[in-house]
Amino acid sequence: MTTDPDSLDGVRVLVVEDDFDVAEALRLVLATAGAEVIGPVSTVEAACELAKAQPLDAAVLDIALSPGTSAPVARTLLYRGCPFVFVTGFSNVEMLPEELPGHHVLVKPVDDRTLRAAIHMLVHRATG
Amino acid sequence: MNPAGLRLHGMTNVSEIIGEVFLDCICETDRPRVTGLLEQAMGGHPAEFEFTSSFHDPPRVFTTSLVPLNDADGTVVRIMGVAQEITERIDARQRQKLMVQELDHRVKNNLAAVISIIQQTASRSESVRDFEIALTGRISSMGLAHEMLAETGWQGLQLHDMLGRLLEPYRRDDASRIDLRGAAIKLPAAVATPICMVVHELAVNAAKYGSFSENGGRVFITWQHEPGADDHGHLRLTWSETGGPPVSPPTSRGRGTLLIERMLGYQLNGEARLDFEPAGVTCELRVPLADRHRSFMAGAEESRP
Repeated sequence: MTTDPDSLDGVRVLVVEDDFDVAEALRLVLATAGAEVIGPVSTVEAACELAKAQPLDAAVLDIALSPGTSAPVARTLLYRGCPFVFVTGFSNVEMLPEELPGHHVLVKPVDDRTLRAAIHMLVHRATG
Repeated sequence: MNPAGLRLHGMTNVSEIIGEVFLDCICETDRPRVTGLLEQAMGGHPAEFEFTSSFHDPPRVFTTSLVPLNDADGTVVRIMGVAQEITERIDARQRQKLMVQELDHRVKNNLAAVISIIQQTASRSESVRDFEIALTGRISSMGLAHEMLAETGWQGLQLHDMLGRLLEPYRRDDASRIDLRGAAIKLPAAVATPICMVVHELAVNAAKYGSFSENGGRVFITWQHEPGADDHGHLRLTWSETGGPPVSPPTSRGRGTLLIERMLGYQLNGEARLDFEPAGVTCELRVPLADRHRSFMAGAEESRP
């Protein structure tokens, strides 16, 4: 690890976001911080496939996806113990998948530094 | 019960209701609460409440006032009930709540997209002036789709109308510069914005290097609907430039070109093929018309009785 407090050097992050522009921005922020971005992907199906098969350290999940929500992706990640953070345009927590409370939620638009710090925290909490 | 009351409950003859207990008309979830209020009225206190009926499908909602009628001694002898159906009002309230949530979601997503567009445009602009022109164009094309969709109540917009408005600035008083030909196709909200942004980038490129950069240049846009067996089918659209300067393939992909080639595939599971033919740029788009991201607004509109 470098001395940059938010460096994501070598961290493998799955990005799931259905808007082309927003996905590109997330990719750019993470890649610039040194992360290896898996994706980005825009569908539940593609995300679940990567969530099952790829070595991952963390994930960023948009909540509203096509079709439905990213809940199946989140469950897949929970099952294999990969930490994740939700990003969403919803302010209202009622819109969050019911069975997934207590996860970190970043509300769009997400500031670059906030995103980097959130992933940094996930990875460091996971590795102790 | 008077004739209006019978009609309200879908009956014509008073014999149909004789012997029915009032509480049987109320759905089971509401019954304990209404029982309490009925007892309250029997005790001499008027009650007002809303309940869902048990005998309508789909269920209907009523508001009711119960007024106790006393005899000379002040004993409650009868209860007068007045009911009014408020299903529409309840549905409208629910629709409005969903629309506010949806709007909130859309605004934040748009802000996130705008920030991303700023970052991507900045990293590829040579001067502040270039940056400003590219950025305002991109955001305006998002804005145009939004504005036109809002005019239709987010029910989808006609492709021909959208292209006409989007390309109007490139006509420059010469109607033959832009040729739009295709069947009437209504684009769902989730499809309209990306198509608008992609066609905007094609027009910007044409104005910089292609048909819109010279007086004799023309752009032909044709489209058709490919019906699908079990879905809404596809839109197939061809953008084809003529009469511009000779075209050579770009040495590097700008942000606009990347958007043209990748946005529809990423966001809509569609396809885009951009060809830099010497005679003029052509671009073929194929996009599923299913509203993959069917909005709550559209859903709320459709569920209207």
